[in-house]
Amino acid sequence: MPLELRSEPEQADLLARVARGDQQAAAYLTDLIAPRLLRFAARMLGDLAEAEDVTQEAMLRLWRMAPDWQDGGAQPATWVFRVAANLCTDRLRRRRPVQEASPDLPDTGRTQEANLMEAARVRALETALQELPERQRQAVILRHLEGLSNPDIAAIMMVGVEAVESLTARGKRNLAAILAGQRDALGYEDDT
Amino acid sequence: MHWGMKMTPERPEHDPLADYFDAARNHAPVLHTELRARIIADAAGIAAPRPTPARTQSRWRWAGWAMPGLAGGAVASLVGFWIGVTQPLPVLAADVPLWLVTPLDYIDLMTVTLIGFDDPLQLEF
Repeated sequence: MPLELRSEPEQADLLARVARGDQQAAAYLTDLIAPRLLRFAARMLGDLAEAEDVTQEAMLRLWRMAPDWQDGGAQPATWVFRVAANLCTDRLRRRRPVQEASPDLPDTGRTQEANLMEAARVRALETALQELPERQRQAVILRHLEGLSNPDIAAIMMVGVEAVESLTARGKRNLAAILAGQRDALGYEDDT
Repeated sequence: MHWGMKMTPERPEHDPLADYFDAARNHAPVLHTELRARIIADAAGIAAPRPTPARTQSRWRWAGWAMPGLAGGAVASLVGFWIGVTQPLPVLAADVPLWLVTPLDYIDLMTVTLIGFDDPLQLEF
């Protein structure tokens, strides 16, 4: 489901319904936001179990905010992404520089060889993402994997749109440099 | 560097990272049903108690305790203001009973007429 973070005026209404105990509204907001939070956190942390914890914690904080939510400020989805980003930052700072575990990959029903190749590319990308500076990683994930707009990313990262563009561009340059040495192994033919 | 161009010859401007991003989007982790259920259950747990009346009541209870002190402070302020701003009474009027004021005024009038002073101490006896 596409999520336009800033064009969801009903999010605040849904949150108000959650505060009144409306479970349907809670389920709708969960389906709208939580899958994206999970993907974002998994790519930030490189660990699915931790990403699930972050997702649940971020959503819990959103529910706690629900009774006192002030309409007219940030959208709930933007706010909760910011919370998730901060939780990821906290965990990354606490963590020793170790593992690059890729999230579990679902079976897409293609040939075994294609699946393996694509899985290898995903793992290479996940590993390369972990090597990026944290802010660049956030910007690249939100822009190119979650497909958010630059203004939305700027609101989440609390920076200007120009800063987002700069972070994304630098992140992509660094990613390309990191992945360049692996392209033969990942099934890309050299064009020289 | 245009690595990956041979894979997509029809798009020479193709982003070299696009294939990686596409692959990552295709293999993104999904929110499983247990986690979804936990998140929704959290919402139910948060929404249940809403102690607004109790909070209001406790605020007024605090105000009730403070009220005598505030009232005392207000009265003291008013009294101080009254003492400071009101013109002090003449010494005579403050020292003598009210029923003596008028007779003393007559005496003053007589002494001024007879000796030119309203205060006998000014004669320096």
